[in-house]
Amino acid sequence: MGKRMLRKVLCLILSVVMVLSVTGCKKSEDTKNEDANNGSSNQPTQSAGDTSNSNETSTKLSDKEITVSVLLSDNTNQPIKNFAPAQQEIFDKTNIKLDYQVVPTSNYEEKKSVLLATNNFPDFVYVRRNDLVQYGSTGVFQPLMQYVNEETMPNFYKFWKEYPEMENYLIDGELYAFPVIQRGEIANGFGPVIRTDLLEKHNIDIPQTFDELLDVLVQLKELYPDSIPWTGRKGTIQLLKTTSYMLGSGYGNTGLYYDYDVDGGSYVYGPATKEFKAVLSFLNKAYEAGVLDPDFATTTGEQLESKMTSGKSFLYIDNSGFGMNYNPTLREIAGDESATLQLIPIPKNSFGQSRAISYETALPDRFYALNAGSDNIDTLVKFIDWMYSDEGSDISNYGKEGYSFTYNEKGEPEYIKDYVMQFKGANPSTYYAVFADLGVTKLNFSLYACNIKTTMEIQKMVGDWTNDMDEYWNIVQTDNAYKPPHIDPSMTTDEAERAADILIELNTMLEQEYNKYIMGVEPIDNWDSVIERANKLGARELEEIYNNAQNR
Amino acid sequence: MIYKFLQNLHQRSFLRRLFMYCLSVLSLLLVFLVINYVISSRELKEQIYGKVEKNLSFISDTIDTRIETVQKMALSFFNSESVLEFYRIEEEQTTEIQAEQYRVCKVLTQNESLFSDFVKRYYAFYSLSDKVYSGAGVYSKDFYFNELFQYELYPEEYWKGEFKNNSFRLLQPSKVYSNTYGTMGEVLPIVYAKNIRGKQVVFIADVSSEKIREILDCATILNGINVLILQDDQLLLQSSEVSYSTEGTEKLINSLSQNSGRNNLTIDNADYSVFHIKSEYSSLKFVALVPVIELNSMMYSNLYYILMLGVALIGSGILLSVFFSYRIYKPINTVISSISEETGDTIVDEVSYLQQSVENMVAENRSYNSKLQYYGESYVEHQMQLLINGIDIVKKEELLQILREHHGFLYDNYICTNILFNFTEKFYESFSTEQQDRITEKLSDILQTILDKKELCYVFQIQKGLFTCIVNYDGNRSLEEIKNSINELEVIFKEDIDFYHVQVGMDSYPCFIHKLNYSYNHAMVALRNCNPNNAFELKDYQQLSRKNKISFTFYDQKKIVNCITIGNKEKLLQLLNQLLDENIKRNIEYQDLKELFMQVYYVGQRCLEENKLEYTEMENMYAMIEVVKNLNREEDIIISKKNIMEFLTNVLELVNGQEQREEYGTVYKIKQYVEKNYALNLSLDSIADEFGLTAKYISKIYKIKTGENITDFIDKVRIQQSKQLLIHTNMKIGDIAVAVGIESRSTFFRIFRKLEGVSPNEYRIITTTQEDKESEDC
Repeated sequence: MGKRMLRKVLCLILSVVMVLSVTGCKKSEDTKNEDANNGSSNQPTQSAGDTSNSNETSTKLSDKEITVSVLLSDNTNQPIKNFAPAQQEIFDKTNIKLDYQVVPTSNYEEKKSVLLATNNFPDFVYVRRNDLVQYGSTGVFQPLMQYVNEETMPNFYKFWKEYPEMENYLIDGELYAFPVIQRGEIANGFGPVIRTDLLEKHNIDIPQTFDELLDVLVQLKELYPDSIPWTGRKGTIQLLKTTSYMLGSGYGNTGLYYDYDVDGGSYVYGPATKEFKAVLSFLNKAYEAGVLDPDFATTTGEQLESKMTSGKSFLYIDNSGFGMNYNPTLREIAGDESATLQLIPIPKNSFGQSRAISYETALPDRFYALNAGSDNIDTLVKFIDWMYSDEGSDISNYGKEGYSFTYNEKGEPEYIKDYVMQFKGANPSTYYAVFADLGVTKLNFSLYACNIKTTMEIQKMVGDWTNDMDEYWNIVQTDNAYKPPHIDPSMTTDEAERAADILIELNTMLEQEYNKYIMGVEPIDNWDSVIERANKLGARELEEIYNNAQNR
Repeated sequence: MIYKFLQNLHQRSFLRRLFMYCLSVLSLLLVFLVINYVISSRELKEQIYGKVEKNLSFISDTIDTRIETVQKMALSFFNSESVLEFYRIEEEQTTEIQAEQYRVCKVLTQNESLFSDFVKRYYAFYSLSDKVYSGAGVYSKDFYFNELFQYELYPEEYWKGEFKNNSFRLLQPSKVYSNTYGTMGEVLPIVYAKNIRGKQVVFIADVSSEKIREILDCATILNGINVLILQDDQLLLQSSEVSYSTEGTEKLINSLSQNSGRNNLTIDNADYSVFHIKSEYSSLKFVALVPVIELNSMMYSNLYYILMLGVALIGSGILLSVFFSYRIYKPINTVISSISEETGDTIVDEVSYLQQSVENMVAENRSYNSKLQYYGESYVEHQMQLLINGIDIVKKEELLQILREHHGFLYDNYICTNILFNFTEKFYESFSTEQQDRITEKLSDILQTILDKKELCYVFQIQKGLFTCIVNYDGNRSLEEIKNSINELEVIFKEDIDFYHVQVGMDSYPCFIHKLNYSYNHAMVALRNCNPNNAFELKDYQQLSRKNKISFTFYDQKKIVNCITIGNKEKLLQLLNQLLDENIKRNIEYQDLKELFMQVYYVGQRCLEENKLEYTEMENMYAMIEVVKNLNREEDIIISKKNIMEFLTNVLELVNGQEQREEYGTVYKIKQYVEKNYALNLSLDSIADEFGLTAKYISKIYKIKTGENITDFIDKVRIQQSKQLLIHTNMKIGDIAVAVGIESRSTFFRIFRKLEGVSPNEYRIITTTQEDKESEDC
């Protein structure tokens, strides 16, 4: 016994001594070798999917801890932070750790194209429709049709059946990214938002046509000479995007748009049509009358907000929801509770049409593509399917159960008031603050994502919901002028490339022309020569490509 | 325990030695540590300085690159066609120009992505204009600097003034607030002012201070190192939060020579090693201040850790040494103490004591072994001798064990083989007696060695030239094989045919150890049948004629006769039973059995004749003999045996019918025997044996008959004889005693005195004087 005790004690002493000496050594090594990695002056930006494994057995989606990286575009209103509560909850439930690589919006396109071109991007990357076209055939994205079936992805498959339009996303029959599907979305869209209180005050009727609108603006200008009645943001192109369709032509995103009223519905390259002259003409009139912001070509979002809320401007035609956001600040600055920016029904254009395209309800142009070179592809596919499930969607839109939301009697998720109230009065808005804190909704990484639904829930909960909001949504939903956006058809790679080439040429040429016509440097009639040039550059061919693809 | 242990330490030289060896190994470790420290200390300082300098130049390069990029970006803006053509101050803007203002913004967006980490944002404006151009669009200065990005240090007015023309400068870092975006951290604006068409355009890039500090941190390999960026002898930015007094800063700046170098300074009562490097590209200077204290503390901690390590390792080394020495020493200690207890020595030096003791033990062991061997051999030989003589030994197991262990005997059966070397005349002539003796002594060893190769056997000498070989017989083998082995001796010994002839007699019936005498007898019998003139002859018992096969020795005969003579019926029957069964059991052929039975008959007949008696039932006897002669079945054997025994019993009765004469005869015989053999070693037992009777019986009948004891009679006879010797010889008393068969002189004295009343000497004296007297008379 004594011998054994002696041995044990000795061993213990020895091991303690050794441990001490080893740590001692290490410390002195550290202070000597604090040579930072000077070689890499620039931080390596993105590295392809990191996978760290630890052995944990659980009944979670993934047996071992996996880190999944996602390239996301940041948003000034709702900044994206890493490992917010929603992502923590996702990790707890699935053993999958989301690592966001966030790029500011302004840089996003460039960054993304560089990363995709060098095939050096994270496991998931937020892409748009045209990225699928551009990169689908390069093989950087994992082909996904093999997973779109009942057994592998039951949740997504449900949606696949529900929205057959999604088939338009296929490139040569293959799906290259998972589309974001909006949940409970009521679509608004571009619309004219005006200071209805001022109209009331001065007994001005709500304009029914654009010409009437112009008159109203002139009136207001006379009443308020220092004002800039009609302003916008993001310059000329945005102005065209927001107003062209209403005014009888269309711009879509690139100039090519789907016109429901042409031949029962076909693709038209707006700027290269006669009808576009109506657009330019109207804008020109507004400019010359001094009601359109003389700086319309260089407007910014901040300035739009500033002008609208300071009362310097009275009208904008863009995302009609902004108006609701501006109202509180407007009222504060104006010192007038009655000051109201409100949407008006779409006025008739010079062709007698009242028409507008709303935002997409179910299928926004948002996708997450899966890196073909990722590890654990099968687990990632399973994970995405889980994100489409109710459970995944609830977490990625509402956060952590018990912390930020609970389930009501109907089994639907609802925000917890105490949690939400913390953010009351936040800038730019309560709901953005909540979403940013939780890491949820469409602007974050969510596949079955809420947008309006959650926004409205929070607004109502915090008491930000006002009557004009009810009125607003009423107008949105009752105005028949709005049509849902048309999903572009799927095209072959060749078609898509050709279309892209034509577009670049057309837009480069046209970009330089718009301002001249709007500002009156060139008379509107000269636009015909522009149309001719556009035709030479392939505007009609472009339309054909799309229409053919459409009719397939 | 430990105290006692330590007390004897001066004796425990082994332990001391062991421990010292272990420690000597540790000393190597010590040497290593010392060398390590010396080298590392020296290197350390230089390493640190070297690293700081290197890192400083790295920093300089990195920041230069960034700044260069900003410069180039600014220049590309200034030189871009769109800007040159369309960028005008408001007053100069026509509508056409106005329509193209968006291009300026576009130029600014072009390289946005390159700067996301290092450059937070950039923008441009005319000094005297109200408009700020950025990638997103155009803002008013008021909006931009009051709402969007408020510099703590640079209000709107600052940006409305003019800058030095064609200047490129870094401004002091300032915090930025935004009404729209919240607090935005600290930036360092880089300002490039240039004239376009006679009017100053300012291009500003806001660089993240945090990023710059990150780069500067590359050089902070020790705590307390501070890296500063100086522009035109003014402090721009530093990596740590330390602030120096104005004098200190001045002193520092003045000490910096033109390009790069290193010197030592004392600033604010602290010593520093100052490294500086001038940027190649811009007018920046990068300075690293290394507090000497930190460096020294690093050296101390280095020393400290080496010491700690040393202490730890050496400490554990010593512990291990103690532990292992003790462990190794312990059994040796046990050994030494147990030896010293035994021998009671005092130990001066353990090691040599141990050595000595072990050597002693080995020697003892060896001598013991040889003695044991010798005694063992003697014992075996002695026991064997007894066995072959038919004397039962007590400790058979021991003998068997020795045979098993030392001679490798495995089996229970034995066969005797007697080997006789018949030495020729030539042998006796050629060799002296000593030589002969030596040769004959060696012969048993030679035989043993030779035969060991083939058989398990034990060879020993019976008498000069006669050897017996006890072969351990494996029941599975045939006798032929053994015979062959022994025949091979012929090859070896036939060389010396001149000196000896070899005869070998071999038994054919394996027996157990206690019946060895039978085997021996058979072997002897076989041997006797060899022809002494043959150079080598082997005869085995089986080969012999029938007559010689039966085991009916003269000895047996005598015993039977004696029984008859004395009239001991029981003994007679027992003897006969034993004898007959013995032979019957051995499965000898019927012919041989017949021979046996006949011989026994003859014994009985001879008895009758000697005693002049007639057998009354002669017809029975003839019938019995007929049966014997026709012996060929089991039943015949049993009948014959019964008959023989009956016959002899009758003979016995007849002989002893003459009680008086028989007894008389017996007593007379005894008396005769004693009178004849008085000089020998007589005992009741030996006499009884002679007659095949028990000692008790003869003493009884003698006493009855004669009224005195046999022993007394023996004494009487002896004393009578001695009297004669005393009278007629001059032999010494002791010799006379021996001559009459009394070994012990004192015994002779006692008996003589008892019977004669005087001592032998006295008797001699008396008788001689009488004689003298008689002779005188004549």
